[in-house]
Amino acid sequence: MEDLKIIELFYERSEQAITELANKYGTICKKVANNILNNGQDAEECLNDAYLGAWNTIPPQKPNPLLTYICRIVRNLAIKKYHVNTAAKRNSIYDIALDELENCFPSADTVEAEWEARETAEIIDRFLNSLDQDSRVMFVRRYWYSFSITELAELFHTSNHNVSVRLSRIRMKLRKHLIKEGVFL
Amino acid sequence: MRKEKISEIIGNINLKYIEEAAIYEGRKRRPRGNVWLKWSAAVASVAFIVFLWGVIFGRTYMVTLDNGDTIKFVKDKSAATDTEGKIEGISRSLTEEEIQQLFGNLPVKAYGLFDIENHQLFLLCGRIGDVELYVTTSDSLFGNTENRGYADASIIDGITVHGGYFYNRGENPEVVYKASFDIGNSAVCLKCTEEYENAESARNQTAEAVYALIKNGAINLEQIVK
Repeated sequence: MEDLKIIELFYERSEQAITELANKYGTICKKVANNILNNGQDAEECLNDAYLGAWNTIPPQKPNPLLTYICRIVRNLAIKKYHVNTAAKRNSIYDIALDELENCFPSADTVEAEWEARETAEIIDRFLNSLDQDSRVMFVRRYWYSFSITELAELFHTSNHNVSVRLSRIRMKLRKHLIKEGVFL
Repeated sequence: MRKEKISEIIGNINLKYIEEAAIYEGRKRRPRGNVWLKWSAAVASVAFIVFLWGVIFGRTYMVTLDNGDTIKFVKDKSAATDTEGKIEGISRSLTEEEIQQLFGNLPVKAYGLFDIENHQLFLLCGRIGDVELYVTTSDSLFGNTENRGYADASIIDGITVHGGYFYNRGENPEVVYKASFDIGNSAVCLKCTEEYENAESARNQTAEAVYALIKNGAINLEQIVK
């Protein structure tokens, strides 16, 4: 079903909207939640909360594209739940991906300025825009969707090693870009 | 705290990139590019791209392999032809370690052409013994199986192999034996050229190289990067 039809169902307050949303985007949303939470039950709960979130916000929202809207809700909820759940144990793909990324953000220890998240995201947008599509997708799938290296290797028809090498190169480029832009955290 | 902030930053990237990544269905296998080192296809493809059309004449030779399978070589009156266009990439010789990764202990010497974007090996040119060897992951280089093969195929260890031969009638007349097949993600083409009187040797060498490569298994070129 087209996104607009699904949104119409939300506007009509038809519960079929949730079913259609789940049919269309449930798989990728569940993967995002699961990659962050590393727990099927928590991911399922997170997904249901996200559908409820969509139900409560559409209307008045009319998201376009719907896919990123629902994925974003899922990601935010999953991260929130993750912080509640795992103060001590950290073992999800999200953790590993974040560890990788942390090293490429220059430290703010030596400078006073700290950047706002939104402002920094715009700088990362410009960086992403400078990449070829494959590299950009690989980066976003890894660090936004928290896909595992193996999942990326399957997607790109290549080896795990090759994915790791390419991600490492992208991170090095990002680090240079952030330093050039004066971003420190 | 720092990690949370990084997570928040990544969470705020432009929606178009999030959507692009979500709907992305997989990497295109065909290499692309504008400049860099350009290879004329004529250099590489004379040997490995053979479009054999037309009526098949002459005798079909057969070689029985160690496993009992038989490979057929069908006579064709056409000679090798070049493809149009150019192959673009970055070239270098492959190290012994890389060759061992791909071919185990087979006596292969080769150099490779790497994708200019992702730096993966997509075309390998070399020799296995005295037989010329070409392997590629690019669908565009060999054309489809029907085009590059022969009407009468052989099955070797479950792999469909197209074998053939033709004569170069020049000052120094030669016979050229060829075979091609797909294994794993790669397409393989072999070519062995000998004087007329050594046709049997060329045929046997080609057959042995086919069998050795099939026994070696899938050739994953993409594990080698520039």
